[in-house]
Amino acid sequence: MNHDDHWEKQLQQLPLGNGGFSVESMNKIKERIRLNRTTRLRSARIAVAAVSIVSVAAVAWAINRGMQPQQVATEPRVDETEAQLIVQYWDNQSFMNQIGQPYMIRHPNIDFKIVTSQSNDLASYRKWLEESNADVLQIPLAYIDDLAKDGAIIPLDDMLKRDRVDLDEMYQPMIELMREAGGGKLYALVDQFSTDLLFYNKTLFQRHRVPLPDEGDTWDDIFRLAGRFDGSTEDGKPVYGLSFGWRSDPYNAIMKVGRSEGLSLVDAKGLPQVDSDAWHKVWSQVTEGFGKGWINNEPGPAASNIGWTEESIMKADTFINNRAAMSLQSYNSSWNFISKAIEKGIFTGDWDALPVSSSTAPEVTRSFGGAIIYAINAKSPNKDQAMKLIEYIVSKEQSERDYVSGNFPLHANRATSVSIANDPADRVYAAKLDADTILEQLERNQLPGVLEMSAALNAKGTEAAQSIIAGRTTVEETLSQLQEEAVSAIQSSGRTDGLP
Amino acid sequence: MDYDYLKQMNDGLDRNALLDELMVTYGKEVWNYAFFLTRRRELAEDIAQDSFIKAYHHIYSYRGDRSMKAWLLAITRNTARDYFKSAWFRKVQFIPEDFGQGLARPSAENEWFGTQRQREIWNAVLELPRKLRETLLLYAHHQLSIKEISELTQLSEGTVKSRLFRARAVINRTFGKSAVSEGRDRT
Repeated sequence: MNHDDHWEKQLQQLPLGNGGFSVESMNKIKERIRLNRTTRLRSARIAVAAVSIVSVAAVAWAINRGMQPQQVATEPRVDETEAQLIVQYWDNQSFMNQIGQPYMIRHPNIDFKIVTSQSNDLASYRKWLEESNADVLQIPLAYIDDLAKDGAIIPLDDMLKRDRVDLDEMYQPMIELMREAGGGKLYALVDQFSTDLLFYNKTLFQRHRVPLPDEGDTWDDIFRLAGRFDGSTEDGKPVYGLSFGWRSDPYNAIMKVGRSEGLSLVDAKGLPQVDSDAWHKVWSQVTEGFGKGWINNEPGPAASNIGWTEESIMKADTFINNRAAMSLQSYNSSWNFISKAIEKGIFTGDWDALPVSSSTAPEVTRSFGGAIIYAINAKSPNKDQAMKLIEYIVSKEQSERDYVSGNFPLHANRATSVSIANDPADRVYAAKLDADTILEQLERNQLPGVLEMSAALNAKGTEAAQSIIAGRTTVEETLSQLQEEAVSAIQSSGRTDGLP
Repeated sequence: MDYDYLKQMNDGLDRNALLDELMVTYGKEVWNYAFFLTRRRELAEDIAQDSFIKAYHHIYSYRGDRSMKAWLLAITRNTARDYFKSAWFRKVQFIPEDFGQGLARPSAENEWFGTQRQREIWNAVLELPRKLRETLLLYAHHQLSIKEISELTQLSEGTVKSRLFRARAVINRTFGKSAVSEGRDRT
């Protein structure tokens, strides 16, 4: 045995195979507490056979965890100086549940104060930041370059290097996106992100003798395949080629397709291009699908006084009920429903998922739905502690906590010691993201008047699309009208430069 | 530090949520420590369960004067000692499990089971007398400092160092090497 391979290092991992502390152990402990059985009984293991509900995630976690090397948990650091970190987050309670409480267990000397920002544009965020004394910021992606130029946030590269954070183990497109946003430097780190995936029901494709979608398929290919289901029925009910989740809104579908094609409603100067040829094509394809009925056009679940319930959504979603061959949905929300539908035996088809490619760049995806991003306030007196907190938030350990809790977020630092059978996240992490186009779309959305313009179009879009579907107007007429609406909305916001 | 930091947690302390957190974070540590002390999986499971139940009931007595891990391991140690003292334990003769046979059983379903050499090392360590075994593993597996081990076991730091030295010497002899450690020990 040589020095390089010292036996003592081997003791850091206990190769237990399928054994050790498991979800089953956790459930037994909780059950014994519930039954108030504090006395030791050897028969406890047998007596408490009926454990509480174990989610799919938990079971998979248990199984998978047992097969992984037993790693030493992160060691609590009790030698830190006491500090109160001020963190920008949505609300105190969810911060403490998600991050604060587990962090305080590991770092007993750190206390938290949560602050929120109500700003919805860069100018008001800048003002808020000026007055804020937050150490850790949760910033919009589109603001990174501006705040970096202001010197309001600090580059993290050196601190990450010092703390030996392995950026290579993170989902590289998210690191590239951050570097791109920061002009080469890393000013922020992504915790979670969202992206759309095209789920497809192989069984339906096979039953209707339609070839399966393939990697690299563009929207032209997907619409062509979806159109093959035109007029299809099963058991007297329509079968659709494509759906867009559980809500059937043609304007929402047009925006999703347009976004994944890398289209923007405004040009580089922030001037409307609602009636461009590229948008014209998307409107034509989507409204044709809705009109002919190969895109799901059912009204969706009725909202109760508490909004939509999980039950009503699962009942109304045509993909979950094996009546839509494909469905473009955000990974995060759809997988939650689909996995439950599989567990309950509602969704029975053989299935898979794919990232959607743009017709102009088939090797990348542009279906980016946003990210939760953290940065450090340049004015913070607690930069090292703030860095430690961000490092914890984006750690694999924290991703694992989140995953085990039954949520399905996409973490930039993916949990690798836990997994669920057939989790389509593999498809997301295998995809490449078009950082340039995504940032360009976001930048354009920040230009003056664009927010007001988007709001005006959102208010009119669905009705306009319905009008085309019903044959009352043409795509040309509708887009021409919406273009005028867009110009008018920007003018109303106070901007006049460059407008007709 | 002599304050109860848990009581300072914002919005009060949800004991059940904290239990989940402790189990997810330190479940393996507690279970493994119980296993090192007993060398039996079924006992490790019992002790780990009992330890977390005790932690749940005494969570408000935790003070931030040591790490949560060290606190949980101390509870685990006391729970194991209760087992050793029990009439039931004294009546039963345990034969240590062979690490290669009993624990890391290779199978098609379990791709990761450690190398032959790892199994030899673990078998040798688990064959150590309990006092040496415990000290070595608190140091090498649980990554506690000499000071933390001293507090946990209520032994002087000198005794901990001596046990660590003796444990290493035995293992090194097994593998034909002198009792020198790599670099400096954590203090």
